[in-house]
Amino acid sequence: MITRWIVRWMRVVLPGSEMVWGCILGEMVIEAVYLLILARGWPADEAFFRGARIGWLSFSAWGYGISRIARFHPALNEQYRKWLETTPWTADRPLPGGPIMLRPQDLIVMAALMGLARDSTPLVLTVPVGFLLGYLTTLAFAARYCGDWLFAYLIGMGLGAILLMVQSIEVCCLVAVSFCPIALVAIQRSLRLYPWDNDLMNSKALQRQSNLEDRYRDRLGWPHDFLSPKAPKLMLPYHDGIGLSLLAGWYAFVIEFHGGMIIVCTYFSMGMLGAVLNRIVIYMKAHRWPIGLSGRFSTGRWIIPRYDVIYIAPVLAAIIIPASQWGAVAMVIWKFGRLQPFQQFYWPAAICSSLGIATASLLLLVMGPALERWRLAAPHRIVFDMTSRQSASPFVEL
Amino acid sequence: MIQLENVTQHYGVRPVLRKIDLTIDAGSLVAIIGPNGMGKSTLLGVMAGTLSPQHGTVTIDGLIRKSSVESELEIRRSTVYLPDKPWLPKSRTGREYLIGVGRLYDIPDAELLDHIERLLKVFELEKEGDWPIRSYSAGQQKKIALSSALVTRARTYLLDEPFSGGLDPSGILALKHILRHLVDRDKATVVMTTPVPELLEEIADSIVVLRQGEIIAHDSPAGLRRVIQCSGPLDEVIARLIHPRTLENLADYFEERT
Repeated sequence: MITRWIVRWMRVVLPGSEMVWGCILGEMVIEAVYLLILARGWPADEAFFRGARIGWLSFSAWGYGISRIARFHPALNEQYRKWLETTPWTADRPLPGGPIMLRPQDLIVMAALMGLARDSTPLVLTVPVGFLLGYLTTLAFAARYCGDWLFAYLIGMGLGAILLMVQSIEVCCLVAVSFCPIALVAIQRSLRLYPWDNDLMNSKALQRQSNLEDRYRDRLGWPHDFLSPKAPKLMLPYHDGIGLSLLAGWYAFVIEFHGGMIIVCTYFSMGMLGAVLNRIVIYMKAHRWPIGLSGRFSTGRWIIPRYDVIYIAPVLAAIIIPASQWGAVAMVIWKFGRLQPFQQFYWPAAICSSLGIATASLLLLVMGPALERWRLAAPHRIVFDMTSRQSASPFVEL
Repeated sequence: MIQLENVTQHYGVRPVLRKIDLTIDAGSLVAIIGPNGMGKSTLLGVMAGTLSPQHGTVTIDGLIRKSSVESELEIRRSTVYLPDKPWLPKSRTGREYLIGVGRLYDIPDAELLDHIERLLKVFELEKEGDWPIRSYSAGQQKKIALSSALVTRARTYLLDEPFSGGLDPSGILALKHILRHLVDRDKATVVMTTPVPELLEEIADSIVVLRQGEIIAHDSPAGLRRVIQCSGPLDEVIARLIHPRTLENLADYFEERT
């Protein structure tokens, strides 16, 4: 009787049985190998098995944290959301699918996972940290989908702070736990914004369409899509541009703090240069120069200000990115005499590098001209450049 | 009313349109005619806003094209453009496509559905209206594309070669009457291009003749006859305007053969 009650009580928060069995099976494999070695009388590498156990259980806790939001938050579950819209549910009532707030059951799951780790050192705190990382990351996405951009980016910054402290697992765990009240407020705010009828939610639903034709179901082809009399929707709101830029800079700093300066200076920089090209492509897609290159030369109109204004932000970003990264490298070499993998943290260089990333991101995401207004009022040549020659094209040319 | 002032357009070195000044009165049907590659579609593209002229302005109903977001949106609400080669969503049925376009232009649903039924009937697409566009013949696709322009109830229609593209005789007849009706009853402005002048005699209020990117004549069919002093068919009048030596060359050709 009591067992049945406990099982029913626990099932309110537990993820799908596949995930539970996956976690148990993984742990059983580790223990089986460990016992086999002991049974054979071989010397078991205790440190290795301790690490393997904690690693696997932390990974399981991370997955559990993700499932706590992804499974129960209606903003991330389209079928659930659509069903909820047919009910009289409001934010002050409990969610019928299960709670997304942290519950005592979560403590029991954490205690069970930590118990399975059989470790009395602070390293076992990796398990709850893993859980909170999964929980908070998914919550940040859910909050943004619900339209609560402020708390989404706040939690995003908090995740960076948790990762910043990862070398001291006790402090890391403390920082993670200190974000729980913010998470609870974020959940309440996200639910109060129900029914979440915003552009991001709708575009998310659209992106799920795997079939190209389904994805273009609302498109009308050429010319009606490109000469639409409707006011265009904003591509990226300013607060998202600022939030994403701050996150990019902050995470670059976190990586550099852990000695990943080369990672930031190479992979981050390459990614940013890719973003520079991407921004140019987004603007020029279907909206080409009003006059060709030869026309520009022959008429002496080297610059067409109202069109060429789109190149200012990418050019500035393309200057700032290498300048800031090379500047950071120069500082490190000046200080330590050389640059090496997992370079020792040097804060002026890290600040220079991450500020460069944040500034370039800000330029690319926020600096004008606003795409929607530019497409309406700038001098350009509209060209329908759908990948039209492919048989998978959703359009047919007359 | 459409006004073009000092419009010059070129992609590369050679200007396609040279200092075009043109006024098209509201409630008239104007045909732009000229040899291939002389700038007819370019002129229509400039009016439609798909091209931006290097010099000059395009004014539609008192609003300058691309001068501001608000004016551009207002122009787009009152103007519809149909290129000679539109792209149609192939998985949607003709009816769904027309409903989508009508809603884009905020046509009330009841009026829209009624108009669509009448358009499908007049273009003999009642049954095919429920088929996906990919299954249509070229002529049927042309009819549905034309219907998508007509369903908008715009004040200004910019149609690039509406009579070509596989339209059958009944479609041509229907379109001629619909365009004339739009101008006479709804006081709409219709600007269309065509490489063949035979159709224009009975529907065009005025004809713009383009040659080498310049307007060499803009008058009614009767006015053009007076200018050329030719009482023959309209294609002969146009030929004399665009290629004054064509008839002489033809005479020489037949003389040599005999």
